Amino acid sequence: MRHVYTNRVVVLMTVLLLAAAALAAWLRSRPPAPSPAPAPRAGAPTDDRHLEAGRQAWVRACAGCHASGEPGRPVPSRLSRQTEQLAAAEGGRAYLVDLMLYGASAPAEPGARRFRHPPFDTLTDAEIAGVLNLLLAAAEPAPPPFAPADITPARATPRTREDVAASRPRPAD
Amino acid sequence: MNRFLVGAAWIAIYVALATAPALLLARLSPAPPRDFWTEFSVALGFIGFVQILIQFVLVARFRAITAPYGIDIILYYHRQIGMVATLAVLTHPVILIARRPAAAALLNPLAGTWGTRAGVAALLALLLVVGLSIFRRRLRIGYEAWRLSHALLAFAAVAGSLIHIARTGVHVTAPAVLAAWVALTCVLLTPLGYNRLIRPMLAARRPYRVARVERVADDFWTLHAEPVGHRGLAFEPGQFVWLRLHHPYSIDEHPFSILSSSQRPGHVEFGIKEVGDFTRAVGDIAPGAAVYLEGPHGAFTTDRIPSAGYIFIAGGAGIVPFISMLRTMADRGDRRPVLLIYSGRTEDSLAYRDHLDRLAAQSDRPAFEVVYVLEQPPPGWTGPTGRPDTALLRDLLPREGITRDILICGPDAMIAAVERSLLELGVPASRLHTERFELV
Repeated sequence: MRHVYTNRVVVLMTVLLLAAAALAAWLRSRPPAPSPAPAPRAGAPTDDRHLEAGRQAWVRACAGCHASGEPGRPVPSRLSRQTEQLAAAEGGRAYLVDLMLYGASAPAEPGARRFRHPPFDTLTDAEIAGVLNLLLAAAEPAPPPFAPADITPARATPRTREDVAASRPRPAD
Repeated sequence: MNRFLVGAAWIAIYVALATAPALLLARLSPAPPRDFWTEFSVALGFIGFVQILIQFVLVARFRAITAPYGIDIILYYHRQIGMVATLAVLTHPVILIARRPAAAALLNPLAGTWGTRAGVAALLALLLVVGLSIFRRRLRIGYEAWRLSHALLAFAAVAGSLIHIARTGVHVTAPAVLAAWVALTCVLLTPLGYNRLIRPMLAARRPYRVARVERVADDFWTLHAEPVGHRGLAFEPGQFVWLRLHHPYSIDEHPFSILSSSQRPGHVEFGIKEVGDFTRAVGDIAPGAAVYLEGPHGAFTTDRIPSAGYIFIAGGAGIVPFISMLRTMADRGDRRPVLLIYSGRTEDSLAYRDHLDRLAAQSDRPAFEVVYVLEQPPPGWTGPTGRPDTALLRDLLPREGITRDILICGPDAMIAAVERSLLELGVPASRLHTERFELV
């Protein structure tokens, strides 16, 4: 008879665990109190830059490694600065798109650490553009935003990680 | 303390432990909010993970935890809730992929990151754990090999999950939170270490040696063991122990029901049916071999089921705990009435008939009756035949002014059928007590 009770406990516990998961999800997905995103600047409609898609993709794909660790600031400022510099360099915009799509890999060299980045070709064009725009959101003066149309052509020419790493613009010094 | 209160307290702790981590994380995570289904999927992952960690404690055979329920129930629960936890963990990627089909590419070990790879590996290990447990017999995997694979795969699943949580998660990124998760994992895995190291050490201090091994039926053996340098095993009739042969640290350990009287702790007997590699080799154990016992375990004992009398229903190897109960009653001069219904395939498969006939013939136990039920009776058999079904039980159950508790022990299918029949005959469920010895 104890087994019949045990079966009931298993069913009860399953319901309880599902309820707990639903409660946790509800707690997490309630509309946030203050938006942690940087406020969009006047004259630049958020939709054009796909910032919302970018923020969601950031949480899903990037934050695992790149999280700033500070509440209210999803993107670490150091990464924003690096992205700004790369976007301003020659060939930098194409490199950023390839980096997102195909990843990068370069061995350690004298003066340079080993560099690796995973590919995120499962993100949509709008998400990739959004992530890059999110990283550039604080740049002054504002660089031209990435559009999904900037990402689409790069998908036609797959590249290896090593290839992408080799195309990284060297810091001008 | 009251066993009921202890049982309730453990359940409260269990429920809190099973749900709190996911809820705390939901409240405290610094990550920006995502949509409900994504968060639900992540919460399922965390809840499944914690539930799997808890299993390491559940199956560690801590008597303080298992005593209120009986360890057979704990293992039965473990088997079921383990599948529920695996389903929760499986649902985690399923929801994510359903929402964004492109994410299915992450299942490819060549794509993705070490975080997603670890997650996929952990999930595969879990599915293997469940699959091997369900299909162990059909796949003809021995108990020993299965147990080793079960432990290793479960451990791999936990390790993979931790890497996955640390590398892909957005909730567990702060070092302090990650440290808390690793700490929780370590605490819940401690019983594994305790079981493998401390407990054998304790068992080694109380060794036994094999006095002799005798064949009692077709595929049935009695192993006689005697304590070496201590007073022996204190147990309640009907309980069982985990037994290790030769070496206290052997990973090869087996649960066996005690056959002897609890009034004689200095001479412990076990009834062993040949079912696997280990039990088939029992006949080869030489007298003098060292034996280490861990236990006793189990709540299937007349000492915990007070009643004016008993009806025992045994199938196959399920007879062993009843012999212990009957011998203990005889030793204690306990004259409460007992009816034993003992069913088997053939006459030769009924072990301990001589014991039972002797007990029944003893003049000071007039209240003990035994009925043998055979599926394949020999020519000239006058007793009942077939299986203990509703019609047969209706004939056999005594019509009397007292209500006896009914104890059932045997193969799962037999227990289920007998339970159904007795409920049909109007026996109240609270009077039925069962023990399933088919642990896996």
